[in-house]
Amino acid sequence: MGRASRRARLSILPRQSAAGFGILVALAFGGSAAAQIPPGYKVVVVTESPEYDSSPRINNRGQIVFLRRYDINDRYTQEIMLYDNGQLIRLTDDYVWDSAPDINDDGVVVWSRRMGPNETQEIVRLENGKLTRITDNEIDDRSPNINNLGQIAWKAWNGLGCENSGSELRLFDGTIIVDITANGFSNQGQRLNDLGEILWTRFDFCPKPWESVALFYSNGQTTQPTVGQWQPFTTSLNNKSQAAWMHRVPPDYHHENQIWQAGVTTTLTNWGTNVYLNNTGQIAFDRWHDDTEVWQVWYVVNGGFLRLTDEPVWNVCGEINDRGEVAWERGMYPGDVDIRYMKRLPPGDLNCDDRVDFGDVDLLVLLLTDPGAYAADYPNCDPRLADVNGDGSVNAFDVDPFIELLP
Amino acid sequence: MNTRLYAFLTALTLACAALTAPVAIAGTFTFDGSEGEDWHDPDNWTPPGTPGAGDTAVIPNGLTCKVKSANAVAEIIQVAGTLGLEGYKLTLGSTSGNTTSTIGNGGVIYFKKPSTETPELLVHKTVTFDSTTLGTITARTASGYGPGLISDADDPANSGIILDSATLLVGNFTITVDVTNNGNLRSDGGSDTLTLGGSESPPTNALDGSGAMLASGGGTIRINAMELDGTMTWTVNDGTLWLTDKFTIPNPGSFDTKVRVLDGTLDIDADFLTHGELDFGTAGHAATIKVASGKAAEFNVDD
Repeated sequence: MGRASRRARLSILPRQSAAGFGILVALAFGGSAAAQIPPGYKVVVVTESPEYDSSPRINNRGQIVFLRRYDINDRYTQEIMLYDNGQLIRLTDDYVWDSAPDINDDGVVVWSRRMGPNETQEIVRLENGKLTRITDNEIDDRSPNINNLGQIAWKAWNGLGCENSGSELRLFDGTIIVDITANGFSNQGQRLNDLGEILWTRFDFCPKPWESVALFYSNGQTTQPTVGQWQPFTTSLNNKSQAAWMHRVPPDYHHENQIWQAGVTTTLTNWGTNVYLNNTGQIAFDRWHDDTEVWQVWYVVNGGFLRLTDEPVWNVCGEINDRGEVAWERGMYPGDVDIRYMKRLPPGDLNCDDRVDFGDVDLLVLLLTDPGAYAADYPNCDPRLADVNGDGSVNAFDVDPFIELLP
Repeated sequence: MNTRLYAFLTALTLACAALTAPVAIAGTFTFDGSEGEDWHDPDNWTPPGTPGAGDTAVIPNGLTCKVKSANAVAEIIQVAGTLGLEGYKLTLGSTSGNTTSTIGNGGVIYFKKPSTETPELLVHKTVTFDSTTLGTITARTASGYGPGLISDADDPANSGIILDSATLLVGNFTITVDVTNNGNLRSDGGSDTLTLGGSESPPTNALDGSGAMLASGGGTIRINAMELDGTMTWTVNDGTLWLTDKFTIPNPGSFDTKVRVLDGTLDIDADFLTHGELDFGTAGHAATIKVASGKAAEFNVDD
């Protein structure tokens, strides 16, 4: 424990008068290097295989799509995988270069796939077992995002423009493909929300060093949220029109992550990158730990920070959904990288065993009658899981719907 | 349920957890090449985003990453695969101190000039290339590479590279920073000239170390404005080693380089003195040492 943390412990612990407070805080500090999974969640091993699993995306049903490369040296062995409620499903099984999957809440999966005589990358969509080709042209269409309206945004790498790195953004609205940009720059890193808004990074590779800005498209208008940031790179856009990006701050070029909404920019942290925002106030991102030389996944809830991972291997955040669930990749590069998933336990699961059964009945009674005793006995469980009717409160109105959950 | 108590405890716990975090800057990005070979495609890296100043860029074994659409920056590179500089610059190192990059497990950094721009490695301060096994930095014409430049990013008099014992630098390079060669410097093709030093006088850079330097296969090594020192072994074997009139030996008492002229030419245009031995000639081959008029070359000088 570092000097700063010791100082913090000394200053805070004496202020705790209730025993429960002291125990809780001491545990928090004592476990400074340990994983800090928030109450009501558990970590699920999605894959544990010798293949290289990467780029996980998660929807609000807990379905996760990711990329699996069977031969680390051969990208034609990249396949699209789906994890769905404990089942692992291989969506592609061919010697084709697939990449960059995404999934929406309807379980529709999109990715880019090298096709045709020139093996250009094209956007494809898998819906209800039917594979549809969205693009068919002579340029590389890459890295699609799909929202819950079924809209798909991607970058179309045409190799034109400045330094032959031109990449324009395109949007499939369900019927036609429209150009979001036609500026000759290298537009990348797009994020699409359920409002049809898009956040992206416009790189200008002609100046030396190169420059970039974040751009935000909404209702046909494009604005520029970043002003003066050094080489910002966009990472997330949620349905509250909150945007996130990382930029570097000279002279030491440390990473700073900012969140922007309606013209107001705030700094989330000056340590980390790869920030993902959900629509319910939680944030997941990565921090580089110099001591162990690994990335770890961090989590922001109620304005505080939790370190979700602690193993001395790389843990790189994939995405966060509105249940606060996070998917990430974990392992040592290259090769043996797997997928992990911080899963929200089901409503009514008050003993944190990932199921609702008669073992939870007495605990609901305890929680309703003596919440302090429940908190003391089950500190790693979330009493909010007793809010079975979802009205934001835990009270007697949750009893009947709880009973309906029992087997 | 006492939700206020719960919220307070949660917030307090989280705040405390945040305080325990050590401070770190920047980070390490690993190239996964899932979208191709371009350094400047953010989707090719884990975490997503291109490495930049202050960052470490890792190119794993089996993967090729090309700097081919813009200049690139990193503080450190760790190359176990292949890193190609194709017509663009890579700036490496830190303004705040010396750094060590690695080229391990057969890793390769190649320089290639597909258009009008010569690829260039720019270094801040001293960058050590540490290779666990053979690591290669190449601009070798016969392999389809070259030419390449290695120069300073901002301070010509205080920038340099160190090649450790398992690092090979070979081909058609011009290097205008300090070079500490504890590995191998080599020019082994008839189209290749490895030029060490610029044309300034007196020299602002130095060439030293304990490794080997080889001119072979018709290749040329030209030593320009460099202060010479160290205990290297220079070998000419079917090549040319040309010491122009720009070099100096500021500390003759410590210059112990051994010179082997087995086949080819050692061309010396300024006074040259070394405590190292001269190994001259091989049966059946033509070895030549040329010394410019009015200049002296002394070998195996006693202390």
